Amino acid sequence: MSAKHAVLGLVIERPGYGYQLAQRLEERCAFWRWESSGVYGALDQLERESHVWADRTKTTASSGAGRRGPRVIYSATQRGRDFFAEWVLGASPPKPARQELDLKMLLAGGEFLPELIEQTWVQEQQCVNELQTLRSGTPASLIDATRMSWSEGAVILQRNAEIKQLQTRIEWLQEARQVMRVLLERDVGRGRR
Amino acid sequence: MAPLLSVEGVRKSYWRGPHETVVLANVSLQVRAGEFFAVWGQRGSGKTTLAMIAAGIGAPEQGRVLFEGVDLAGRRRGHLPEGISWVRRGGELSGDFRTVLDSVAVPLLGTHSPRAARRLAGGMLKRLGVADCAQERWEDLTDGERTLVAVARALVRGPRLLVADDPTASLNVLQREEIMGLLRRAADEEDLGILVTVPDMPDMAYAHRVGSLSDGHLTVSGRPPEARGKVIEFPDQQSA
Repeated sequence: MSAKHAVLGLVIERPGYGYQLAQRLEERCAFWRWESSGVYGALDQLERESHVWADRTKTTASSGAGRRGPRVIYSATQRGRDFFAEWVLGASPPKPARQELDLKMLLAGGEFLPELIEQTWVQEQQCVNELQTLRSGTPASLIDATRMSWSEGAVILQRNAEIKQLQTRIEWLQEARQVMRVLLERDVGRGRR
Repeated sequence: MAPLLSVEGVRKSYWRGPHETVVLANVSLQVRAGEFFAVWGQRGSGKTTLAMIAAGIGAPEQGRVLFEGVDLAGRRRGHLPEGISWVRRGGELSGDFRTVLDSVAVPLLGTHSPRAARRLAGGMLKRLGVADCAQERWEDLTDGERTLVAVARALVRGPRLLVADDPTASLNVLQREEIMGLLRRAADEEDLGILVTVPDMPDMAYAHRVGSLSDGHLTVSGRPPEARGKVIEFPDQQSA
């Protein structure tokens, strides 16, 4: 998915110029890890499609000294609002996990079991490290859950979605390791190895 | 900075008939003052066993647990070491108390008059936002309130280390965020060391360091927080 819908959503929420929007995208959708340069591409595309309107005549208060031209302020058009609403109301199919390790397990013979078991440990460590990265995206100021706004709540839900995916992966790795170990021990018991 | 809590090479197993199940094979972790450390694991992974050993309630078969540099082995079991507080699963409290206020005041009775203990307990309930529950009975509280009361009871003793086993059990996501945010603030603002076990990974989001417990091993990631200008020296520095 491109940053297009996210940028449009932010513009609908409040008009702004590119750098501002890139910062807001970083704050709100940190877990998606979009490049801030992608914001400018998305804005160009949205403008070409008439989803946003670029005002090149306004000068913002902070843009005076040292800037050559006025800042381009983007705001949403009705067409853009309709396009965004259509996207929000549309179905969102879940994305199945297809990972390289799973494919290796499907195709590798039993002689690879010890190495595959080792790989589950390696990937589990990677998942736990990834969890650390996700957590550093959590808002620095801790939210008082009883007083949070919807947009703050949505950030928490997004963070939880990412973390739960990792949790599911880790649980699966642990299960896979268990199965592989049982099969390995059985094969060793039968003297096949 | 020396760690507040140091769990070193701990092993623990259970016997079911002739079968030995190794719950903790070789687990080591350290919690520093002001650090919030969360451990996740599936059911039966040994989270509770680890929490109990870390709090000095249970004893390891091998390895050792140092609190402020002192080995917890040889202490009288079943009693919390001074400086450590414990919150059990879902915040369950034991004992029959007339009111919530009394249940929170009890840990202070050895060192304070009943009146002073109640005053401090009331202050702690207020701090955790459950002052309204002070005169209610434990049975009448919601799950969220019970957990907050249990945390109040643990914090009122002024611990340097808080060990909580699955404190957010049966809470909804907003209540869990609230409890975890509150614990993080206690770590940040009061230099409290915290070790928490959680059944759900999102609950680890506020921790400085996280660990995944499986097959008796702990996989850890993250960095402890920077020491806040306070140098702590403990008598036994072998663990560093």
